Amino acid sequence: MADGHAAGDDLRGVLAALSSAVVVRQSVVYPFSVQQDTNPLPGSRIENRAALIFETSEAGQLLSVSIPAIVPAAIQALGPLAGLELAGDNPAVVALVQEIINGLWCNPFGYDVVSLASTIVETVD
Amino acid sequence: MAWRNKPTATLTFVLVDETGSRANLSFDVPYATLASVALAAADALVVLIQGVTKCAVLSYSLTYSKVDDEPATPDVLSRVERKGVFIFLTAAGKKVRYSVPGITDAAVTYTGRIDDDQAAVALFTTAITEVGAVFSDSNGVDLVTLDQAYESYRRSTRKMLPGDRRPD
Repeated sequence: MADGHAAGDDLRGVLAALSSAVVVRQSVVYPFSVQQDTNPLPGSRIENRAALIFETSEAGQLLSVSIPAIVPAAIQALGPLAGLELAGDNPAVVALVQEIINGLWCNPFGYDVVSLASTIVETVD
Repeated sequence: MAWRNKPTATLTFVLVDETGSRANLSFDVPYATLASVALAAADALVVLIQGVTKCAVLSYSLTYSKVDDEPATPDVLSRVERKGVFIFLTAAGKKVRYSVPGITDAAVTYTGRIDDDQAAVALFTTAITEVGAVFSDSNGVDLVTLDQAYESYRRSTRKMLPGDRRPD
């Protein structure tokens, strides 16, 4: 994959001489489309969300990941928090949480994700 | 002029539900992460996201952004509505168009044509078309030659109108 960053930096210098405006921001975007046929499941609504709140390596800095149209099987069905939090033993939830903690991911300030603090479910139906 | 990158690159997924409504889901990686590494991780993450959502994932994009937090002062009388339009031919014979906002006076002739021999114009067209340049059309086909270049104006939006336009 070609290095778009260096090319962008070089082109910015060339554009500066060509325009009486000034360049204030540049972005390199790598877009991808999902090719296989995937259809949303019946009854899916983006308003039915679950938020996963993570702690990061910096005290006081959190990361929130909001999943739209959360699958019902991932929602806690037992106990006082039934319907209000995600099921901690659901395999898909566990896999996603582990990937976010152990993978490349960080919060928008660059702090590493270290643990799951809580989950919150918001449904409208 | 001080160019600073954001601390992270942002990976944004677009999801769609049964009604056709779309939602975004974003993750961040450290800015130094190579695009190839981040995109490989994104491929793996798509599978995990599909396991917890009833939506279908339509697309995703990875964005690296920089900003100049000490920008130079634009030239007096510079206007983004005044465009320098450059049309390049690809190796497949198709056309790609770029509009440079605020095209400088020195690049434009009295007829409105952009002078391809003018130094800044020549540097720009060379950067786009030279052998080994990374730029291409949206199908990945190389841009090989400049076809046309001219000045063009776009309509001013309300925000572009001068703030002191009312008589005092």
